[in-house]
Amino acid sequence: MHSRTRCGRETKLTDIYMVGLGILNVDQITKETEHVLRHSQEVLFVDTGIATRRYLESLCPRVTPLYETSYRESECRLASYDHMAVRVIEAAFHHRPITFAMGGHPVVGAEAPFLIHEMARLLKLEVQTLPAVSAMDCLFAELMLDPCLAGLQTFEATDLLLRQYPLQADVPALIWQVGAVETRLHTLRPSTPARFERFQRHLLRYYPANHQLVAYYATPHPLMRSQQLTFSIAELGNFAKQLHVGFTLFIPPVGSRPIVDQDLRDKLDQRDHLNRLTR
Amino acid sequence: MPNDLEMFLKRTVLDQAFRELARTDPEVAFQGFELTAEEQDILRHGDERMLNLLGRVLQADWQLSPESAAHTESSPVSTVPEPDAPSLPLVDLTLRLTPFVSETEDGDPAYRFAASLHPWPMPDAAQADANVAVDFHIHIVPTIIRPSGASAQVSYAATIDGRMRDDLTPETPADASSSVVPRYFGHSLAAEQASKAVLEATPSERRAKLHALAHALRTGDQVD
Repeated sequence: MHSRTRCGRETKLTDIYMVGLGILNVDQITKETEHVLRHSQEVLFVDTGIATRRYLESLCPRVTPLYETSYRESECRLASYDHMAVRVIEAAFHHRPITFAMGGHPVVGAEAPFLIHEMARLLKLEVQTLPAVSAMDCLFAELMLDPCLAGLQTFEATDLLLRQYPLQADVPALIWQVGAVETRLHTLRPSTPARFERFQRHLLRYYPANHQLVAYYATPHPLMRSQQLTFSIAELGNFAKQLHVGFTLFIPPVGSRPIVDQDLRDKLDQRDHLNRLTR
Repeated sequence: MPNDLEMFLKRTVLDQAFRELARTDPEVAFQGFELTAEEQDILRHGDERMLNLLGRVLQADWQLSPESAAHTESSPVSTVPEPDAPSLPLVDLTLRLTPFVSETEDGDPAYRFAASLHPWPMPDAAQADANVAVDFHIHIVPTIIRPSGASAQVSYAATIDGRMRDDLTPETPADASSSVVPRYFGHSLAAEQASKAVLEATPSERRAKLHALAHALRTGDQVD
């Protein structure tokens, strides 16, 4: 089997593990991930945490950072992802098991793991992906957002514009990578207001101009507070300089949707209804 | 050699007891580290200025690392050009619902909708009954997910926009070939051949063959 399912009693190691290091690393690394890191022949990682490398070196004798060899100013990020995938597969051929570790969650807002997965499948290498803490999990906790309450819609900012996804104004929305909208070229330069004009126009199709947004950046360091910037859609351009690629945009709903199915509503606390639904 | 700021920041990540000290009694934690007044102020407050400190440490790390030195000698990234992904035209339609009242066999009124499909945006001539009809914009995005020779497997994603026609601003459909950032890679004959080449490659050839495989997965084309 190419992609292994997780099992707590598992003893045989997989060829390639893909793991996440969380946002506030190294505090958000799971015990499961730590176990895999300890048993890897090599850990290749993409992360900008200042102590990540030293932490990984305490668990595995061979640690290879890929961030600085992958990204180049004004170069296409797709080439960066190819580079990561090639290095990971190459290492797996040479001395498996190996681990590919990324900041956050390994398959949230990341393309290289999907490419690794496909390459491994064709090359008959086993891959296992472990869950981790993403920026969304941090946002849920700090903004006290429960996706079960009013639902949740979530889009990557550039994809939202490319496909012109309609937004449902009475459902909370999370927009990823708003600070990197409109390009897939890598840069660390601050944005200008022009970057957000098209994005702003799209939001104005569904929300009033004075609707308040919250830009959230989960802290990557224990001495730093997470950042929350609150502004209206009309003011979006004024925050261009602050909105770096790490920000996630939370759009609160405009009002709440009333209950339509009153029949179901009436039955929610009825025991005979429960009895009909259960054995 | 790591400087004091770097040592201080890394220790707060790796040493929980020291971290607590830095939070509760920063003046004591600063002792033994040569930190400027500005750095101490930033560390006390933990605001957005911390990003600059973290960036400085990270940049210094990268400049010292052997991987960065290797990076300057040869390009690590794929030199394979990215051809446009195969694409199909987007489809836009108008779904018009026109309410009407008819009579049941018992003579009671029955409320119904007549549904019809039209081009989007609607031609001007079709706007006449806008006061009774409700128009929906249907946007269909076909995606080739498994191009293989003369045949292909296509998936369709559709969205329906329920706003009234007057609110809609017809726009030129996006160019699908430039819009696609592949997330799930297609299985093609080219990818099969490229993977076979990887398996047959010597260790010194393998990296180039892996780049060719990545390219084949993205595009369905073979590099050779």
